[in-house]
Amino acid sequence: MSLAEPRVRVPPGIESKFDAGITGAVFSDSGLLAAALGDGTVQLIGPNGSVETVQAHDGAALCLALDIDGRCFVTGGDDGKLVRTSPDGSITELMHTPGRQIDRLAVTRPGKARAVAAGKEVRLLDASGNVQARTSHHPSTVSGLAFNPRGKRLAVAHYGGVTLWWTATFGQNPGRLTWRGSHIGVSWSPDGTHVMTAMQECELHGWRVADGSDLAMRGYAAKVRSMDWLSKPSTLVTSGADCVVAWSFSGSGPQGKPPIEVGQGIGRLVVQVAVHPARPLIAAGFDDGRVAICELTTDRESRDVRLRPGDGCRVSALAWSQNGKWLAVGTDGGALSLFDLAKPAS
Amino acid sequence: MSATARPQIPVTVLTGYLGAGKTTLLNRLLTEEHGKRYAVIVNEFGEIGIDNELVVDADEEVFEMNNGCICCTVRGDLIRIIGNLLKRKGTFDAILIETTGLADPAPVAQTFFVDDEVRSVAKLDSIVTVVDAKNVVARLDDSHEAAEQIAFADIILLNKSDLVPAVELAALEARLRAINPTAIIHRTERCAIAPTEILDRRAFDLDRILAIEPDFLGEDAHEHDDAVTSVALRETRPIDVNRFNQWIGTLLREKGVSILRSKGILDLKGSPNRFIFQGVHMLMEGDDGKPWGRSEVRDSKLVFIGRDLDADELKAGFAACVA
Repeated sequence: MSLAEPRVRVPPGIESKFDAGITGAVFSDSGLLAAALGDGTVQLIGPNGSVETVQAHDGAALCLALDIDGRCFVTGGDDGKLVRTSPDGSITELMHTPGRQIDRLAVTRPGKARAVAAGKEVRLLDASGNVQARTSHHPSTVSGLAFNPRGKRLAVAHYGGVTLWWTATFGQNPGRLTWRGSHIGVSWSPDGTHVMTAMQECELHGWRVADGSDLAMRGYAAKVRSMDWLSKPSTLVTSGADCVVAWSFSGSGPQGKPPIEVGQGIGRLVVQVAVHPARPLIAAGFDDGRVAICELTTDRESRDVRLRPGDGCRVSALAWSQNGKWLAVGTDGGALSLFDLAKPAS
Repeated sequence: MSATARPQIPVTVLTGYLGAGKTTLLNRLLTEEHGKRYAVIVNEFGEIGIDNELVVDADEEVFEMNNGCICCTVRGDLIRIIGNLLKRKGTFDAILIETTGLADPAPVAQTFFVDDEVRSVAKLDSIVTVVDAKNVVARLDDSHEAAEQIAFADIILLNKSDLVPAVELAALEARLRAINPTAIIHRTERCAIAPTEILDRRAFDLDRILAIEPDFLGEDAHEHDDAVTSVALRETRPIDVNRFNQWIGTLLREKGVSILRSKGILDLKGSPNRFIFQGVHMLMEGDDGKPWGRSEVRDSKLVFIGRDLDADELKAGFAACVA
């Protein structure tokens, strides 16, 4: 079957251009978008198009998360700071470790805590910003942080595997999930049963938390820099190939089964993925700036909608609003698109 | 601007024994007015007495790649730090990486061969080794690492040269040359040198390889019997690319543990351009260089620096690559 290249249908929305790359994007509960940038700013963009620029860091803002209250945003920077930005644009410095790049951060809302890494050390900060506990009992620099869904446990990725902590006894009695090699990111399944890591060698590794049994998924073309989960049925969605690669964890799990592949045919590397908050839809960002929304289905004819044409810059941030009506796209060239998907495309 | 079309940032690796003067050199680079933007990755943040946001603290985390290559170790912390540096607004004229005094330079260099993300944004430009002219002889006699750091160097700063008589300096240079015939040696006092002499030197490097005389290694080169030596080869007939690839591939796979560095410029049969390659242990990369001039004498030159090198075997192997 031969089809013409499907037309890119750009939805209405807000386009902004900044002179530094976008390093992260997230929406607050009320629909305010925060984008972190390579010039250390946090851009607060309202659904009405209002933009407020907040100078949160001196260097680059490297990581971004929605804070415990669902209103504020937390960023880590290469100035060694962890900063909270309020919706009104005021900032609070939560931590400062000179000479360290703060590039790994996780927030749990049910557990009311933030975890932040500086080198081998991980600190747990409570809602008021106090350091609840800290530990450096990790064999190498921390390369990933993920809370379990209830926020009672924290997975810390590093060389040679993952250390599991209970937040209540953080720093004592670590659980170790070991696998030789450099683990560069970690994610906890939404049902709490599995911890998955991305590896230097362009593959995934994982463990069933209950018994520590291993999983491995290979065949990626690039490092898996972006992982997200569909909750029901529990499915891990990943970047790192020329299509979106998804692994179903229902039934006996993904071992020995082929992955679900959607969004084929664009012919570029998928570098960002984001799962719609309510429906089995995946936003996929490509290494040339293209963005598509793909239906996650095992049907051979999976449908996709292409929202953004390629502009040569890599998609570096993707985020859905919590009501699933807005999609934010950032590139390393500094373009930020906020698409209104509730309105018909032009 | 296309992100993928960005030129690769040149990376300079700074090695040398504790006290040789690496920190002095870094301080000079960071404080002198040169209008350039350098990112500096250091191993002990406190030692640099300068508050500069482009100075990043690293932990020298060496790990083995699970790729079946036994000497393929890389620096995981560098992959992460360079990825983060590239997120900054604007670009850098160079990245400078300081290693600890006892560090083996190989994992740093190999990081730039092995990691695709790093390779796409940064390129190993040169390895600079700072040597304390007063103490280097003792270091060469009592340690493995000192010879290794000299062997890896593209540029050697023979520092504190004011503290050593000229005749001793000449003997010292001869000994360094026996280990590494291709490095440029600068005599310095308190590491006083223009940044342009050590950063972004790649082009100059290649010309230097061309200038190596294969018979440079005379009989007296072995008088000190340093474990690390070098073999330089020259061939005036054009080289067959397939034979060469097969030979060098097998050689580095089998002997890559003892071959620390390999470099060369080749006249490949049928190619109007020079073929330039360099390797670190088992890893190598090759590129087309500038075209041969119309009246230029074409030839091929190779240099191996390492331990237990069998010069006759290398010579025979290379000779068999003639087209």
